[in-house]
Amino acid sequence: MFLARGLCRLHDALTDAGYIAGALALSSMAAIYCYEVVTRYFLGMATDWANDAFSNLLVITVFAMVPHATRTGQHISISLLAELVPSLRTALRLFAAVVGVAVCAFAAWMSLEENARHIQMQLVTEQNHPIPKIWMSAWISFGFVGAALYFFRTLMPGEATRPRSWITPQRDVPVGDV
Amino acid sequence: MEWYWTLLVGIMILVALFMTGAPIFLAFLIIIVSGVVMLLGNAAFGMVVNSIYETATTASLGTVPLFILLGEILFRSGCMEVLLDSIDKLVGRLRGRQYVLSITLSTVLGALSGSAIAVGAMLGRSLLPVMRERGYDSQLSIGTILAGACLAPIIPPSILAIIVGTLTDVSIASLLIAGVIPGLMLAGLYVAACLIKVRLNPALAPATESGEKVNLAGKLRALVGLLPFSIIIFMVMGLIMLGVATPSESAATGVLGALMTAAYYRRLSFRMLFEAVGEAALLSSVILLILCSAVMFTQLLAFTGATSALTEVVTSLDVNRWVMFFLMMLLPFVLCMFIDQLGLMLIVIPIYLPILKVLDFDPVWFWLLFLLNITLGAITPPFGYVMFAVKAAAQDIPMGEIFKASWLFVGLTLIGMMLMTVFPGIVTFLPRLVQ
Repeated sequence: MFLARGLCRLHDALTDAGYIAGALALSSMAAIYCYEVVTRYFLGMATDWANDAFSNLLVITVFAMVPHATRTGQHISISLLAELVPSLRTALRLFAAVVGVAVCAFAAWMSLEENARHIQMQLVTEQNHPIPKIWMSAWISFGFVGAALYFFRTLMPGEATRPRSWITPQRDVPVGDV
Repeated sequence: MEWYWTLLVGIMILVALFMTGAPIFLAFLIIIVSGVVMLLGNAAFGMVVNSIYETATTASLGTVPLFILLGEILFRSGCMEVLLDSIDKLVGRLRGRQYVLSITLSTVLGALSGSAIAVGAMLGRSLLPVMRERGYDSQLSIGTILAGACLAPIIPPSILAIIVGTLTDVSIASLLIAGVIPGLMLAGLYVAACLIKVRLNPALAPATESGEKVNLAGKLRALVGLLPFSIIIFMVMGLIMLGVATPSESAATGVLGALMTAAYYRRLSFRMLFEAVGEAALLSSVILLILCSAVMFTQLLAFTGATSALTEVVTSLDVNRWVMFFLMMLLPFVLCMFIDQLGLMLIVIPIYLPILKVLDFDPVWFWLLFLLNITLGAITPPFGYVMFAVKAAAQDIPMGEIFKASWLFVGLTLIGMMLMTVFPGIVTFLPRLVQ
């Protein structure tokens, strides 16, 4: 139990770190393009790195936030059936969690395989200023692994596995909310 | 298996998965991974990951989080209150003024938030109780909120327009600009209909509630209050129209404008900024994750042979292109009563793309009507989900009343869409002017 609690807290801490990384990436995207517009039109000096950096930061914005979105149940879904037939609600939530574990774990496995290939072949991004592709593609694995674990934790309700957040504590998922 | 069976079975499984309430991105991943295994084999798993990577590094999609951030800063900083107060003062003293205010607010909020559901929920909780308390007709009040919310996907900054532009390879700048005149025209149509209804039946609005009297100086102050927002609109739309910035860059300058506005009203704080950026990144993540998971759907359709077969079928059909247009609009209208807009777009767009090439319609015009159409489905009974958002916000109102409230505005929007069909210049004038 102690180990499970520790691992869950580590998972939560990494998810919080992802939240901060995603927020910083988005802020940087805004700052970079403002800088680009100013330098291009007012100083006549277009940069050759702004588009590359913007694209790379977009991957971080999207995938660093995925575990947090799963922890707080923010993924977009259609709740029509659950609203029309309330007695199905628990079964549907359970189904979503099981599917979530299976699909995200599989996606994570595919992504990790691809990460390994990027490292082995030392692939770089096709940009003006290439960087190792693994620096960016690793965020996809981060997103899917984190999401798979949260879906798994919703199947194991209990005090130890209850998702926590130090960044957005008001969004904690209640115990047993499968 | 014949291509049409593959297509039909795939779509049916996808819709069934949507209906279970499982996150939409999971439904797409299941279909795509299954499709890859069946059509290409296990060796193609790398393609799935690379497709996700390519989508997540598409710079034009960066416009989505930036527009969301712009809206978040304005909402969280409280600048919207200044905007609402100014609009309230400018609406003037006329019978039924709250209807005008409601349509204007839902239109502006819809444009800034880009989410019809958010507007329905927000105004259903805040403005609707006030209107009912003051003796305004419940049905018409609800209808004005639903109608204004319906304009969210076409009035810029529109997140759905960016996604459609990215998926269809149509100029995002043109799609954004194209929504301005239709959006304003429809808002005008809604206001006119409300005022005519009140004139014909004065019982729909109280005689006593006509707002505080605002003198010329007050109105001027209200106009000045709107100036910072005009600067944001210029930084977003103006820079695109002048050709100074791309949509992504103009979204970034719009964020800068929102920050300057918040600072101008002394509502800028580190905490607010952190929350706004966090929420914007989170919302963008859930939207773009769906897109990343679904984008390979188009490639799979091509692998099954469905894309080329559909093109052949449409080419050989002896059906008038306007009948096809009608059918292509009817399908999303009906489906959007049940399915989330984004999920539906990702299914329908890859199927429509080859057909549209054969039919030779102006793509900006077609996709703008498509965008309007899918939101219209969301305010149409019995399953339009913006209506459920209003119901959730105003629990005591019977669902039947909300259903009845929407019909007038569904009809008005359809009239507006017919006008845009007969006079395509309403949609295409601004994009052509900019080109």
